[in-house]
Amino acid sequence: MEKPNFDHPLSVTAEEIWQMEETREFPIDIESHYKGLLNMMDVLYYRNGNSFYPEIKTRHAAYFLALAMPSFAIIDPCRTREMKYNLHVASLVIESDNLSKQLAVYDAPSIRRLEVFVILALYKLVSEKTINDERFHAYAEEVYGRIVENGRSAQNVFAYDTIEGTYEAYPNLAALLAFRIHDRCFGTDYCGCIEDTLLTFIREKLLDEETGLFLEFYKTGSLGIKGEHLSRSASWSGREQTAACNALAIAFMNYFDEAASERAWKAFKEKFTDQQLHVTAEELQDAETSSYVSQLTPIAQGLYGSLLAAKEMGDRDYFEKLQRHILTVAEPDQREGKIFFDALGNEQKLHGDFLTVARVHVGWKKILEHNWEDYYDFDYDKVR
Amino acid sequence: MSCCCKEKTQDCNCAGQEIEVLGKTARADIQFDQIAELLSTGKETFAMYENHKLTESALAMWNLHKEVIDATLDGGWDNQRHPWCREMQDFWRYGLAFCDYGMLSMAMIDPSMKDEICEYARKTVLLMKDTPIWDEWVRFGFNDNPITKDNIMYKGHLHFTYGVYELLSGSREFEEEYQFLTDIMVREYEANSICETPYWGIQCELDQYFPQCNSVGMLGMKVYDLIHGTDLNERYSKKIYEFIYDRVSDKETGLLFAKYHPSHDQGEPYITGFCNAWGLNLLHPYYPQLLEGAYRTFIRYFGKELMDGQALYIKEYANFDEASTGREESMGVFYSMALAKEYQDVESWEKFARYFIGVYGIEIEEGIARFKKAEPVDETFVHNYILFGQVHQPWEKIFSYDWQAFREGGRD
Repeated sequence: MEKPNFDHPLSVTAEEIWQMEETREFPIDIESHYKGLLNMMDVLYYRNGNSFYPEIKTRHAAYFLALAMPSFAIIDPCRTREMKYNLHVASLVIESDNLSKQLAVYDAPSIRRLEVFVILALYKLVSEKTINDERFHAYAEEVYGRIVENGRSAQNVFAYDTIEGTYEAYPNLAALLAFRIHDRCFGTDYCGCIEDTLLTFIREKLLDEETGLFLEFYKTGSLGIKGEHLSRSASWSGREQTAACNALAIAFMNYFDEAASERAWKAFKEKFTDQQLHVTAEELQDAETSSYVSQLTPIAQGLYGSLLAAKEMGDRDYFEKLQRHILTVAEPDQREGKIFFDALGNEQKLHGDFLTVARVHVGWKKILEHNWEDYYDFDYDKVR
Repeated sequence: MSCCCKEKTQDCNCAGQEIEVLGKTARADIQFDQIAELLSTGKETFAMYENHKLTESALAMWNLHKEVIDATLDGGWDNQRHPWCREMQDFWRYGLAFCDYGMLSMAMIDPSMKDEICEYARKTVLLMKDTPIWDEWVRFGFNDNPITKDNIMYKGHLHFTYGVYELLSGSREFEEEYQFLTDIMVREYEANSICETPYWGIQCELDQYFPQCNSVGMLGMKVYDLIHGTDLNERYSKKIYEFIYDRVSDKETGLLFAKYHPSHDQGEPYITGFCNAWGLNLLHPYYPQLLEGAYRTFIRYFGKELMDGQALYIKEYANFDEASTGREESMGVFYSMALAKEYQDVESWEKFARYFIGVYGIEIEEGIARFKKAEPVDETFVHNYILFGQVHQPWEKIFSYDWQAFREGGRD
């Protein structure tokens, strides 16, 4: 067992974060953060979704933490077994009806379905076990079926909707990642059927030709009635180009279209850096507004999403600038074996998960092209 | 008192020294102006068995316990005199059960208290079966009853309390229920050992195996053996320990892992205070040579000295020096006194005792222990652990005691 060590520095520089892949070790603040969040997720699982934190936020917190799990396992292969279990639990937690709230405005069943699908995909990537195969197949069919249904409906949009008639870049890109994994693991051809179509849709309807940035959404005005006669000319793309939307979109687009992502990232930094580096703790504490895809406010989603995008793009300088700012305003404090972000109030639970994936993420290319089969049996080598 | 966050919220994670967590956790106080004075010394406490007499403070704590039990039976869990904290409802059973196990030791110390002890052992069985003690299992949607599958975190304690009463009294009032539960547990032990992802023991919740919770089921089998002349401890409990040693502990130190997940054969290699404070006590009989070393390592890494080194607190994480304010995470210290008793560590016992006296302001008034610096719900809940920690005799001593002679009115 490791001897106690009371030295708890924060990892503020990009070097400390990128170094993890070389040293195969997590700095203590990442370790503490992970442990605290994991405890929350495990308790959620074994309390059957009974949570002290708002249900839908809890679900998203579990999802974002789970996105980090493959990266944890790549950095430290001896955590592979642990991450298998964690991903398994996350998929069940997100699926739990106790973490859904039908009357809540931002509870989007389609996003919940997508998140389970993505986590099941990541599970199958890291695990040789077949216990979730049936569920994974079912979700693949469901998400694919929805895409096809949208395409065959009067909307004529072969894409995955966030809510009825609203299409965003990030959910479609996340779905594509999951389909790639399904095809890799089972020899299916979902990507052959749908990838070009989805990417074309994103490029044509959700990317600004001039700036290269992602547009907020595409809407069709669908009323959810099968066979309605929608006016095709009445659909529109939301012209606003926000940090919140772009950060997540770039982070997930990069795997599929590096050129588009590079262009968007360049424009992102020009347009949003000043805004990002002036985000305040008060703004991060705000819980009034939310988002269908993350439950974070747009400001928080933009900020943490930018950190994730910077990690995905390998942009160390920008990552460090953002990380320093976040760790300053959030007032992190390591105590009781965890990190508390004292300036973020109750929202720190959700923010914390996003922060974890942003700091640990090794890049989708590495994750999808890793030789997971070589590490299936790897188990802990250290007792902490 | 206010916490360091701008607004006081129910589940604030602030560990600032001024947080007040009424009846929810062990107090996070770790700053003291003075060294608390022991009500009974460690020497006196450890000599109770030889002296055939409870110390004044153990007796006072017992008198408080009787008050609490009677108030609860007569007025319910929300009774006015000794209310139980509803936010801690999922944890009530643990304090109640461990105090019940302490009655075995009390009986050994002073067999003349037999009738009284048996009376309250019986009352404990009644309370342990009362709905609020177990109904979170149904409310959370796991099953329509708390004993037919999994849930060793409840049924292990229920099983043990049936055994305590029958071992002390010889009464077969609950024998049918006791046998029914024993059969369920034995069937589960066998089924789990050969299922698709086999393991020895019983889960708490789905896919959650806690070594400390299983330790209760294990010792409960030993108690059952003492009553019925069976060999369930040999056939099952020992195998469970071998499994815990192999998959749910650090083989080098013997310290226990936080938990194990059968679905992925995954032991979580994190060593925590709460798990070990409880588990090292009850598992001691299964591998004493290793666990004695584990105990010393545990105290060294997880014991935090307070009151200028005169008091001890159990931290949840070795690398962090603060008191934990999370519910379960703060409870390691509750098990500390009994743990020190099990390992015959007089010095540590005194230090843990000083911590509790200092935090809760325990005094004796007219022969009854009172928690002068605590809310009633603290007193109701925490006193159970303190009484257990005062009277507990090592398990090997308990299991080799002549219980037949005790029941017949004699003494070992």
